[in-house]
Amino acid sequence: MEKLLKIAAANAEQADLYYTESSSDSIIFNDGKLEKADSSLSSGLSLRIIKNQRAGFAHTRNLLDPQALVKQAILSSENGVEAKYQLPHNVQAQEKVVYDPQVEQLDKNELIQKGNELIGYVKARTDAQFDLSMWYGIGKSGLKNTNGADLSRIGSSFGIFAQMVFPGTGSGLYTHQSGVSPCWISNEELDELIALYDVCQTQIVPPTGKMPVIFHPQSMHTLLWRVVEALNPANILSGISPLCNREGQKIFSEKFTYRQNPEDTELSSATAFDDEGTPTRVLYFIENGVFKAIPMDLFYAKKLGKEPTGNGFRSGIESMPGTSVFNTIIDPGTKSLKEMIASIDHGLIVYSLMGSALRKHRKWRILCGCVQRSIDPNGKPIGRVKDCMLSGTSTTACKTSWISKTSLTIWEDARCRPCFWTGSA
Amino acid sequence: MIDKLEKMTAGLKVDYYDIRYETKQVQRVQMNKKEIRICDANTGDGYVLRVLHKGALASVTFTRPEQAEAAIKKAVENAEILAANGATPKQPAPAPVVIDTIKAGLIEDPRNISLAEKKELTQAYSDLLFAQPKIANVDITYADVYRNKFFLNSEGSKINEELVTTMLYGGITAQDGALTQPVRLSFGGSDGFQRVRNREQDALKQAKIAADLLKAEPVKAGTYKMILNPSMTGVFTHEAFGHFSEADIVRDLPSVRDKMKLGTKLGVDELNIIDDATIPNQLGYYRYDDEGVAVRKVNLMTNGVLTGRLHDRFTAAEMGEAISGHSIAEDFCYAPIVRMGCIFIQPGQYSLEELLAALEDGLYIGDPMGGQTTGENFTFGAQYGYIVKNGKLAGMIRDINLVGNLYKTLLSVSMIGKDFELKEVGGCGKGQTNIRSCHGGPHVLVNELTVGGK
Repeated sequence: MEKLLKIAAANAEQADLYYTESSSDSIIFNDGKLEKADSSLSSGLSLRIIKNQRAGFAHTRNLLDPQALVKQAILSSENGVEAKYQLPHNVQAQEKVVYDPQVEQLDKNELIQKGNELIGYVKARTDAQFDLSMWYGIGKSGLKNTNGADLSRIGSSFGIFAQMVFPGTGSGLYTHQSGVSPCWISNEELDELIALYDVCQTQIVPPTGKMPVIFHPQSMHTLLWRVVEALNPANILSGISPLCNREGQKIFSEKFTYRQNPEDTELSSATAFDDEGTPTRVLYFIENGVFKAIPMDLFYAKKLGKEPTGNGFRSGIESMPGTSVFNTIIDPGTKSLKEMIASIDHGLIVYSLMGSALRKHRKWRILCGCVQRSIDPNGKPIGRVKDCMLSGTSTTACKTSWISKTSLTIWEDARCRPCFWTGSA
Repeated sequence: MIDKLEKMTAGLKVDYYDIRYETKQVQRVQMNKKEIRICDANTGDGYVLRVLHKGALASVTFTRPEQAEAAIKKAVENAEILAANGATPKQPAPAPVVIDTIKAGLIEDPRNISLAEKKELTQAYSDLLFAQPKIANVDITYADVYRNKFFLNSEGSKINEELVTTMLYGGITAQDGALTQPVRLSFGGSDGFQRVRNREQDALKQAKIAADLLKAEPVKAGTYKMILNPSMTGVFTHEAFGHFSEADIVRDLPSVRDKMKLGTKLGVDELNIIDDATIPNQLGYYRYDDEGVAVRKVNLMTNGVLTGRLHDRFTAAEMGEAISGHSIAEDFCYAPIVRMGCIFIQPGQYSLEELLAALEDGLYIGDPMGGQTTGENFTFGAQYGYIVKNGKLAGMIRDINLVGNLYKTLLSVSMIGKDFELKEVGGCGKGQTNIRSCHGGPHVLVNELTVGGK
């Protein structure tokens, strides 16, 4: 790699080299039966060069000819991605903040045994189809550039996903846990899932019209996709984001604060540097309803005339850095989910959104067809809503009445809280 | 390369194995608001090994040849773990041994076109679209993907097949004050670079739709009788019906098995649904799947009755049905899964005018904007549509989302058009992305579908 960077330095003003090596395993139970145990070993590197203020990019999984890779990157730069930014200087670190060595010691046989116990627990209580999957792995990555940056990180991850499928469909209720260390689904969580599954055997047809809606963390996370798209500097630069030229304005409810915290090591994206070598930072995107900050990588920071925020990440070796938010959190409110449910006469709890990615970010419109629980006048769920469409905008949803004080980790890198909203069904 | 794969697996003592090595060359030009954001040419490669050992099937993907020994060890270990822990025994359905080499059938090979020319072409479309009234933004991407696959299995099959996909796609946004309206464009296919040349009129048509949408009314929520255009028909066929024709999904959802039992009448008499990846020159064309099985035409629904299913060798054996050649992987990073090749509703006998006349009052639904299903429920966005009054297209409508139920909709189809269009750019995301997943069909009149909105 040193040789490659040296060749790149001789042919360009600046260059950086990003490399990864990972191993991962997965176990899948389908309908309570062990179905799959697969593995993956993966590695590769990508090279970005900056020449004549243009960036070039090349990647490979098997570095056989460093000279050829540099040539590829130069060809790419000749065709021109503007790059008037400086790669970070002299940042050096070895990160191990999201790494748990226990993940490397996991025994597949033991995990299968634990999975079988979990399946046994569920099967003793319900005859529902129960699917279970687990995945875990170790990932190493590093960044070196011609300005003296030398960063490396090692990370571990573990996830478990359990789903009870509604008969005759492919949809169901699910719960999951994930993080840096091995984690598990508790019997209490399964009990809750089973109880909800039982309630869902009753199908409800809600009246058409406006009604209170509670977004469970799982669906709130999806709802936030529209907000994340609006925060994307590419959409702000294009003038098609509804947040364009609105920094400092109050757009959402004052109860809504949405931020990223790179130091939250319980979330597996915690990191002190992004994939370009820029230090990450706590960033309040929306604070008490006010639009505060745009996440930015080096490219968009230069384009927008601002400082990079350490949000330049790569989805793999095949992609140039792009702006991503990570380790995101909605700050807690004052009510528990139970209190939120108890506070309304009738309404919907949205557990999962279907088709919410369809609409257009400029309007943050959401329309979805999968709403899971209806609440009776006494504050208890009474059944599952099927074939239902919920219509509204993310802006409206984020002008939320309450945000729950409880939280749930969503996948590896975001925490969401149940939100309450009035919409139409 | 086949020789190297044979050497790599020479010592492997298992019931069955297959190994696939492939290189994937990708050239891309991406523009956002007149600026180049990506312009590169890259090659990746890697291996996928599957072993059937003690009745259990396990797979390992790896990227470097020196990892082969560790990968083989891991695959065998995984199979042993599965077998020891009571995994359902598997076996591949019998398939002919094939030794074959398939070169991509190309009219104009994109590999012979320089990256600079591809950039010029992309810029030309971008400039053309930006010059149109009310167009505020254009995001446009050109890409060509060349996959060279080498497949070897323990039964003696040795196949080398090339697949080349060319595409130009993106979004056009029209703006009038605070109101913006996006529309998509997508050209491409499996038979060469000529697919993305000289498509200016098609691009302009999309720009006009985007501009016209600025004057369109948001659709009113409700249940409507409607005509789906061929592109929307294709999305419905693929998303709502097609995935339930994939044997792995049916296998994994026991409660769906009864509903999707072959011989069950699920649709109206006029409804015939086919998957046929063997049709030449369409996006989804291929000769052999990633298990080395020749793909064949499958009549999935005939006169409303389920008559076929898409299989890999293992689901075919498990269900006692014929192999179909539908085991497809995105690339060298993935083991194959059951995928559609080219699915469509067979054209009927009516012209669009006859469908409009039969509709009288209702909606005409245009091109899709994404689609999603959970079980038998589906939600599809539409980029645009029209109100139909007295059998004529009246005002344009926007902000359209359809929601429905597969089984109800199959019985709600009332007339099938005689026209036929197939999609040129794909992107099915069933766990892996299949950029060659093709679908389409004719205009279709549906008696009842729900539309969301105000």
